[in-house]
Amino acid sequence: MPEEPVFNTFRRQPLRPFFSLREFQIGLGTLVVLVAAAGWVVWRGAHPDPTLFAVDDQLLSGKGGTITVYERPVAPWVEPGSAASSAGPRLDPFPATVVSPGWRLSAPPQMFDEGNLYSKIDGRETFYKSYGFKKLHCLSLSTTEPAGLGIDLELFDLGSVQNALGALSAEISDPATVVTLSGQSLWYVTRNGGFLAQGRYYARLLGSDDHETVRQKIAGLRDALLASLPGESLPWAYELFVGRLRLSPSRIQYFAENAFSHGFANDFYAAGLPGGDAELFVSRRASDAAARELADKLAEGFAAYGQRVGDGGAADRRGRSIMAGAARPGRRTRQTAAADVSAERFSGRTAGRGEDARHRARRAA
Amino acid sequence: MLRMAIGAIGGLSHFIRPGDVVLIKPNVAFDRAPKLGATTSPDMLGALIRLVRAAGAAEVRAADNPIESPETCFAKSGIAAAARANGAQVFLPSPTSFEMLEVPGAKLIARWPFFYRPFRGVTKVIGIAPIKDHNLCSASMCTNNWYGLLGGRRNQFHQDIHNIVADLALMMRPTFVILDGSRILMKNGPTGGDLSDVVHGRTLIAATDQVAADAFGYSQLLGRKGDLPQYLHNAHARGLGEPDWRNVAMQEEQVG
Amino acid sequence: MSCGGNCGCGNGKKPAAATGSADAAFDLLNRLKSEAGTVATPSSGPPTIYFAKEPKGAHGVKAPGWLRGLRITRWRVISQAFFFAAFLFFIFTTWFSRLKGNPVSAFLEVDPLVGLATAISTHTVYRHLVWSLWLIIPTLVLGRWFCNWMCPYSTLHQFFGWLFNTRRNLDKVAINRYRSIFQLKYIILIVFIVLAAFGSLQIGLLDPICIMYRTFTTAIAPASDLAVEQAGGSAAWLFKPGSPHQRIFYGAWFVGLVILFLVGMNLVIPRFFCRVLCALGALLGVLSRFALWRIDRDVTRCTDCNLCVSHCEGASDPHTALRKSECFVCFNCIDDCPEDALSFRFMPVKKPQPVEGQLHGRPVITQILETEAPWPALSRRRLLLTGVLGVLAYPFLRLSAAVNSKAFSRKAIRPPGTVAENEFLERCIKCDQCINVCPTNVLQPATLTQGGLEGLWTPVMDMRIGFCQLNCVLCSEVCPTGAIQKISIEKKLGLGQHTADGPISVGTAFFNQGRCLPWAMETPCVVCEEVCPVSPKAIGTYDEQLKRWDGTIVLLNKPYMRPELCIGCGICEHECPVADDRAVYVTAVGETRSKDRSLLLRSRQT
Repeated sequence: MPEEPVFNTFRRQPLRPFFSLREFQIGLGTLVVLVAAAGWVVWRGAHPDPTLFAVDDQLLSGKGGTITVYERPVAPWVEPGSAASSAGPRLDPFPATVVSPGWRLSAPPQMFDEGNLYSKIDGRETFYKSYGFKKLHCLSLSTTEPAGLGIDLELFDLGSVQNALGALSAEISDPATVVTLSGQSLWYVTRNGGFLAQGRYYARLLGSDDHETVRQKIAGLRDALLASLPGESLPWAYELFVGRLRLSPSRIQYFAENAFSHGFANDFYAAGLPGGDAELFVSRRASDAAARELADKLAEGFAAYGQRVGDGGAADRRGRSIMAGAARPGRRTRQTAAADVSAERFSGRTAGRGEDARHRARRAA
Repeated sequence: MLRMAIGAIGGLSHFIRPGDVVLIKPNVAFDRAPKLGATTSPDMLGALIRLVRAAGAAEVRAADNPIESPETCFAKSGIAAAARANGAQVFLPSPTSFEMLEVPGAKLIARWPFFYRPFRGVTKVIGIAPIKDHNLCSASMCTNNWYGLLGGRRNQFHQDIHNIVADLALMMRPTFVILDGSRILMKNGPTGGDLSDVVHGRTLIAATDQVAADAFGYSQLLGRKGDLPQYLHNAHARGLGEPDWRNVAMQEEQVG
Repeated sequence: MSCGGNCGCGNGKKPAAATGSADAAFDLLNRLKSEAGTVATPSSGPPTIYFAKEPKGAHGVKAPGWLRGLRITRWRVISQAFFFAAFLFFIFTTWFSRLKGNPVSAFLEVDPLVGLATAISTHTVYRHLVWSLWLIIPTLVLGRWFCNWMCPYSTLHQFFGWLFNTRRNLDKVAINRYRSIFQLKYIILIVFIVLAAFGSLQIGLLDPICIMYRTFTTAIAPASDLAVEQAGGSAAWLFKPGSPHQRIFYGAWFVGLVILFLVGMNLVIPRFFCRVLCALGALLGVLSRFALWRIDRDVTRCTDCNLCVSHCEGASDPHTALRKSECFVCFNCIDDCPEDALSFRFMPVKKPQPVEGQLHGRPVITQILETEAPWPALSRRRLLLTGVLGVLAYPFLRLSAAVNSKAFSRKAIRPPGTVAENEFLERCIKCDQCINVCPTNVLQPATLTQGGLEGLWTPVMDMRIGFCQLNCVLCSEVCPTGAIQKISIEKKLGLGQHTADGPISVGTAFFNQGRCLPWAMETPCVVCEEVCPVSPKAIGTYDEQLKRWDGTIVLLNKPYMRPELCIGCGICEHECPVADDRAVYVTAVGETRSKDRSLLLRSRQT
């Protein structure tokens, strides 16, 4: 059988005999149409839509400008259990530096309020509640090297400066303790502890051992707390008693009203003077005139109890403070008190702090 | 300004001899408008091409393997138009343009597909890169620019970014580099996309030491405090450049 | 005389009027015979009819060589070649660097089936679809000229059919007779029109222009580019120069197989697709009903040699009653008739009865009934059943889960500018022009799982292959029917006057943290954040240092999504180095085109 060809044999010729001019004309017409179509395509190609390929540069701003992205800081790597690893806001309100090299948290920070304070300090809670207890934050530190030493930190939020100071004062076991007044705080240290009051906070730092490391750490903690706790101005009387007269705050009492059993005698601070039974009462009034009035009233009032010893010895009458001393009969005490009171220590030191007190000493019978 | 900068490092005739076939490597990674600072400035590229040709180069080529679609990147960034208008030939990547390149001593790209077609017959290579913020690398400048010549699965190198950029400095020792600080992408790099990310730095750096140029750009133009990116230290450790730009012979010229 | 004086020749008798009776015809015959020559007439039985040839000059002239060379069929070939070249040009320039303003979808926009069906399904005429009138009006006048003068798909079939056609003689004639299978295209057309009326546009499955574009896009152009690349040819020969990797498409094998099958069938039945399957041809056939110019067979000249059928493209039976709805106006029959009996004439009305003419002064019959069949040969019964089929097809298709908002495929990510899915199915003709022009090869023709049969070959994005380039809106420019509405870059990015609407989002990216290198493998990465194109970026990082299992300290940038900013472009998924199953991937939720698939309650920030 013959080989089948792959392609068309291409031998076709038109069989028709006649051709017309008309079809040639139609053909030319077709050619014109084709050329016109090609021309249209070329024309369209030369006129692109500009918005297709570019966007006006002016429009490029404004999007990113309206949104600010929070730049999160890089979290650094900290070895767990190391000094830096405990740093962070979860120690609040303790400053981060409570955990320093050589010390680590041995127990996580705890917080107690009025409802569950008893679970922490069963027994003593009434004491703190009497001083307006709000919250207790505590945590425990222990040494890494040498091992075995520890410090317990207790931070009491007592609601007001007076409460904090009162609690601190009440807990001073040894009246001979030297209490330092610095800035807006009172603090003192013992062989293995530290106590401070700043603002409404009262902090107790209790070391486990009488050890130099512990003492150093307590000193450090004290400084850190002093730097970080929010402070408030101490009542003015503490400046006088603790700062100037170096009295222990345990001696200081506050009478909101009814000092000397006089109804008008309110807002008095009293401190027992060392070496005897002498007590110093101090109050502050809004103006000179009010102070003078109160002094006169007191003079009248005291006149009922005893005789007037004499004026305090201060030269000028100074402003808003009244100082009165009351002491049991005792010559020496009296004299000492008068001498103390009359000493220029007070008036001299408070020069420049506004107007000073006019002081009068009275002796109660 | 470009001529002055190159003049400061010895003048173009010092680098380009008549008859050289010169390849210029711009950064055309994305299809952004030139003003967005994500790509090399087309005006700067055009000026560079003109200077190179005036120095007597026989042929000038511009090539890059962009991250996004090559045609649109070259077109929208204005690079293709600028290159062609100044008589340079543009090379776009295609599947058969890549060949395996051996870089002895490299940690990561000892053997890697490389955009080789534009390099055939080339005698001089110049890099021209913008200064861009970059989350991973901290900044993308001259040494990063050579990333655009890699092929294959180059997206894996981000797992060891500081070694790859040092490897790039090893892979390519350019005749010189231009670090273009006319538009600096301060944030949202390396892609940019908003004019408010761009700052006009008004500075141009020409350098033979790309590590030093990058160090200068990082601290002085991007204004980053703190330590230089690790890849510059890696490059320095391998003897590829000096990151302490103050120790490098530097000449500063003020224009206008 | 042998006629006994009844032949009507007038010899000795008066001429008989043309009554149509056989007797009169016989008389006429005899009269003519006496003039023109002898004819063998059997003494008994019905006479054979013999008609004289008309003298020269009546239909045409014995032409000089050049006129012969430029006969009408040659012009037709020129026209076919021109439009095929135009089609190739359009395919070639559907690319960013070549597009400029070229009307690359013009063939689709003039396609009457596209225009008509889209108008039915959407009740609108989108953009350039009114251009289909350029084809409809000439078809009403001239018949199915498109099928052999313009359609590039038919050129393809005709060319290959012609190239490999080795039939001879009677085989050539036999193969071009009309077959009843050719009714199938009308059935297909009716089903499509009914579906379109219900709101499901499926013409793209069998429209020739759509098939042509789609086949070139997914199969032929990539294959050609591969060949050119391997042969080391220059970039000017590539369909897609500057494409860094070989372009690949879903189901390219199937599209290639279909085209090979359909072209191959031309060796079995010439113009197989055009005659059997072409819905556009069917539509044009219906529109040819009132064509004013038609092929006319002069019965007086015709010798029933059937040579006209030997190259008839449309299988329209020019040798008997011309089927107007099948005639491709190719003029091959005219070329083949040795008797010059066929012509293309202006015939506004069909002549109802035999017409008498004059020949040498004698009456002759020049036209008889039934020289044409105007309507497609579809019986009323078939028509009705087809309509029912179309009505049933709609719910069968539409109740498929993949096209419903409850069970849509999460991988059916549509291009930016697309209308909501229901409307999309009314508009997309699956021409794949968008896929053709896409510079990054991210657009793919959907498979059955992604869109069901209704969504087959519609554009979806596969971010592993490419990504949606930020400053590109080419797909919206080339879409002829508005399935992807034409948008500007401004609108896509939400700038300028579109700031209040915000950018267009096609999806949202999600992190698979169990696969992400920094999250799960203590390994630095963050390519995704680097390439995220929006400003500020839609990917942020939690930066932390970590001591790895081997003791080295690394800085990990752990990425997270900012869904208010993500536009679903997918470059993050594309660049993610976890190549087998990306650690960040985009799904079709969070789209701005419809509320069905929105993610966040608050709209994105501007």
